[in-house]
Amino acid sequence: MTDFPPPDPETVLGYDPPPAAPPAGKTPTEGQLPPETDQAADDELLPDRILLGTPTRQAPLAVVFLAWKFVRNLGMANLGIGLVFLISGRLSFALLGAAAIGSVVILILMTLAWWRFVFLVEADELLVRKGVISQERLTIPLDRVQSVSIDQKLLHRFVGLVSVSVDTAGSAEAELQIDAVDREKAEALQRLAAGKRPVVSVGEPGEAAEGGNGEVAADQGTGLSDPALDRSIIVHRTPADLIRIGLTAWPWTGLVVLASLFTVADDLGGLLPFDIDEEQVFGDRFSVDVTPALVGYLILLVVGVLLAMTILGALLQIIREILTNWDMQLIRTSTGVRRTSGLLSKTSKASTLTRIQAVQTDQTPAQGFFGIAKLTLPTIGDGDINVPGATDDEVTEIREILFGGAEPPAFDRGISRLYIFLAVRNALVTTTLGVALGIVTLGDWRVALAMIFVPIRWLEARRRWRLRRWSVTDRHLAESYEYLNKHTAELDLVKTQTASVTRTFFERRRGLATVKIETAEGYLSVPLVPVAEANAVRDLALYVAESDSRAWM
Amino acid sequence: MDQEPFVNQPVDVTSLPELSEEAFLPLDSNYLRVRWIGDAIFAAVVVVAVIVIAVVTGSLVSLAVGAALLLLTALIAWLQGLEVSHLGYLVRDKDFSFRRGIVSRNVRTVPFARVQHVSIDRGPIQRYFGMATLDLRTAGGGLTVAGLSEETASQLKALVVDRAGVAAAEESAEQ
Repeated sequence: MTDFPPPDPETVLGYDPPPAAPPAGKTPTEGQLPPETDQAADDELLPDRILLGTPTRQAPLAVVFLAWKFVRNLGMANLGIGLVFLISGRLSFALLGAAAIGSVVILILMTLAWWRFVFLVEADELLVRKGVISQERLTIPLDRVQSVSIDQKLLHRFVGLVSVSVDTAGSAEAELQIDAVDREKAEALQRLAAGKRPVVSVGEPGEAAEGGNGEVAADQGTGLSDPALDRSIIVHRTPADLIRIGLTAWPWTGLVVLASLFTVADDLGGLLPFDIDEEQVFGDRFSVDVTPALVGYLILLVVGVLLAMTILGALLQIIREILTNWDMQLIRTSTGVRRTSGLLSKTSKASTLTRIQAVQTDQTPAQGFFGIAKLTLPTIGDGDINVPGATDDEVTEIREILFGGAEPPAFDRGISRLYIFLAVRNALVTTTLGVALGIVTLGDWRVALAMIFVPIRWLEARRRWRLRRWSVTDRHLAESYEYLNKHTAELDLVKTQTASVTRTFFERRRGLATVKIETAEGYLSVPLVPVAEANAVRDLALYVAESDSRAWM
Repeated sequence: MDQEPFVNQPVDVTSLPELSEEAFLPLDSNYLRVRWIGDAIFAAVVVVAVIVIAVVTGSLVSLAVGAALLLLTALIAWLQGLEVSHLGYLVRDKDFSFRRGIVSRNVRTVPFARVQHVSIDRGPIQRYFGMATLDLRTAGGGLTVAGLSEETASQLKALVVDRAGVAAAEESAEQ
């Protein structure tokens, strides 16, 4: 549905397209399709090929999205103008003029960028031409594409467009981002990428590459799955679930939204039409008697405010959960998993199993009481797959899918007790310094009461040390710790990208070390363990990564 | 296409190949000079800037700041002297390791099978001494080894490319 005439391939892409490329509107005939692909499959995909066979631009409204992205990155400039306004109380017309000119320039640049962004699919390759100042040409073979994610944010829904994210094997970030196109084109791209079978196999497209673990082989090929082949729905969140998740989250984190209001509250108060002349009202009575009644009122006020903030925060959390995770589903597809959710803006994120690097859970104390946790699957590429409010059974099922029949982690190892010593020592040093500074500057010895912080820290460190556990098996490394939330993480050592052992000055003197295993998305690090253990974990990780010749991604 | 059945026998951790500290090779002997020349250039820039500011504003604060910066640079140079002798790298059959640090000692290993990108960079000072920096990138972190002689660096790069290619071929052959 482009309103602009399709650009001429020869001038736009700067090369002579091979004669096999069908011009718009003409149905291709025999002999014009690449020989490797199966004819039967291609007959289905033919409309898609025609749709994407000519160079297309994004929908015109994409300019808006591009401009919005650019402006967001210019946040600092806007912040500066805002600050000047707040401080000086005047709008600087020079700044306003500059902002206006800047916006026009941005709009022009974005329009140029939109005009120059052209893509088409040809001979099983996705060709992209983009760039205003520096011309960029991308060639992405469709069989290297591992996932095509279609997102529809709120603005997209109003205009019936979607944004597309293309991930390929071997890249840690989204290879290509198309901001706003018609849904038909996006889905056509998805189908074309899913339709490309690995060249190794000869035969029916449905069989993929036979032999051993067919699942693994299919992952190598396309990574994309035909929704018709979806296997099962693993997780499905009901509104009641979402409310429970919102209620059991930390309420005060939701209040960060309102924090900015507090900073301007003072200025807003100055705008009130009626102003109290404080001197007239209070006169000489600047001192206030501290009576028990007053203290009582103050305590009540503070408690009241805290309660109100908690309730408001919890409400905001519930609303947020409902908006973002409405009808959240985790679906087991033929090649991996797919997660869909959203009320106003629908998102769909799919990934092959091999792109998932680890399994993490995070659980607030309230959620621990209900036996639910937030499950996160760090995924190579844009964004992770997370499952809020996952039950133990769901976690077990997902672990089963990812790790096969591996035993759940035993968390049978801890770290050195010297963790407590270090925590207390650091707290002692910093508190003593702070107290000394306070006494010197304020001249009040009662500042020393702050030293109570040290034994508190000792108790807290003791608890944390007891809860800090880890374990390692032939193939898996797992850790568990608790700060405010209880956090666990487990990974298959084949995902190791780099492995390192570090010995701080303190660790060296006590025969300890820290081992750190980095994956493509995040890392696992265990401090304060005996050197031999740290080295053994490092050597094991390297052994698994180097000896297992199945592709890790 | 036949694929070997996936086996998962327990691994005897005590018999795994170890990373022996003695086998690490040192960097080029001129590397320290490269670092010190870099520090000297920085110090010279600081001195010039301080003098200019002092002359222009007539304030002595800049002199104090400049003196502090120079002291810091001297300290860093001394620490670099200590550190450089400890730096080392180790090439094994299947991975590349780099050792660094004096106060906090760190050994970092990158398996060849995970290397996605190898490059050689040469700063102007390094070029004068015939040295280069080898940069290995994986999907999660990487390794940068400065202070190798040009010859060693290009040999290592060829080795890594070769081993990484072998590993990649092994991967696709198994599928």
